[in-house]
Amino acid sequence: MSDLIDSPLISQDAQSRFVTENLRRIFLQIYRIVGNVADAQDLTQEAFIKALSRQDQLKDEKKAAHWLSRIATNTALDFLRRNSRVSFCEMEFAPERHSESPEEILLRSEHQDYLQKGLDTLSPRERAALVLRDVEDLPAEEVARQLSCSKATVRSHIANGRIKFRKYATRNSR
Amino acid sequence: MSQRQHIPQTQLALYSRGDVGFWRRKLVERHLDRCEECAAAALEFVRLQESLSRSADVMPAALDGSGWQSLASEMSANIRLGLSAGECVSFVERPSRVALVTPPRLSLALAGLTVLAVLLAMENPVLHHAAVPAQAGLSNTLPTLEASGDETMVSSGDRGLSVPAPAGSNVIRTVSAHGAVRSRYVDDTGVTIVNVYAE
Ligand SMILES: [Zn+2]
Repeated sequence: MSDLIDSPLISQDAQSRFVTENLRRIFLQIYRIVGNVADAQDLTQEAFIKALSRQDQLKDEKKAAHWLSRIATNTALDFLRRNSRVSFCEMEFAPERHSESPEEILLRSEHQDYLQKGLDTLSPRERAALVLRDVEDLPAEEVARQLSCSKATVRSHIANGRIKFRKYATRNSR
Repeated sequence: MSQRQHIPQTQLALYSRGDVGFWRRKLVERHLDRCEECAAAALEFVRLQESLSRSADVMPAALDGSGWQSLASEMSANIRLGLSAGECVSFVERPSRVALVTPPRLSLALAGLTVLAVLLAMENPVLHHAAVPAQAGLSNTLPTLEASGDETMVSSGDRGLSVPAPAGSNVIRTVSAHGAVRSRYVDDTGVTIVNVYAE
């Protein structure tokens, strides 16, 4: 990312590197908030396009990562606000995978399913706060910045999120 | 805090990850030393957070194996496409603040550009325009989506837009309760998204 720091307008190479370096993290962050792959894909693309359209914000590597994360969170939350919709018809054909044993795949998908269902019991803002604080491990101050709310509010989102998630975990203890 | 008065759940939830101030933490710790019930609850919160933080890099099951790699390439291609489309029409965002809320126009414009770009890239995009002029009450007509093995067609009244998808590709079609329709697939050439919205 050194090109990002050196030049005011970043090259296509640097853009690609910025995408490659952050794609997985941002996709997962958005996926945890919206809960499905198709929407997470669209929103991830949207977040990167927005971020890369404002290159002046990308000069400082560390700030750029937070800034991108902030755009991602807000893109996801905004999507949930706009689309309090229920998809009643979604057909998705996942190709078969062979790199892991069936047991490993089952374990992984069970864990993922378990986690996502737990997150689904939270409100969008609680979910975003919990994802950023407990999954992404961001400090509470940064979570507050990303959600554009006070630290007190974000603490209440985090606490409520943890309490709801614990209730869910107790009900579904494995 | 006496032993009879337990620590509220919200404080335990915050304490377990160090999200309380110094004095609050000391109070909670003193209580936990004497109260098994609260200590057990605090431990549960700690374990829960450990499990959440372990899951940070866990991909959805559908993206195991090579799934993530192909999705990542697809997204990278679409981001490049979106950026070049953005350069063509030079989107201007308000410079004074971070765009915290997606401007709906931007997403719609991007969706539109994506459709356009894909249509241009295809050999036979089929645009159906009936001979009759557009009806004034078009918005009153519910859009319909028809999907066959190799085509997704959105129609509303006399107008329709069909986007072919190669037979055998993984087409994802979504219809939402408020009338949005979407079809998407990955083609062989790289640019891989087809979005059709009729809202
Ligand atoms: Zn107690």
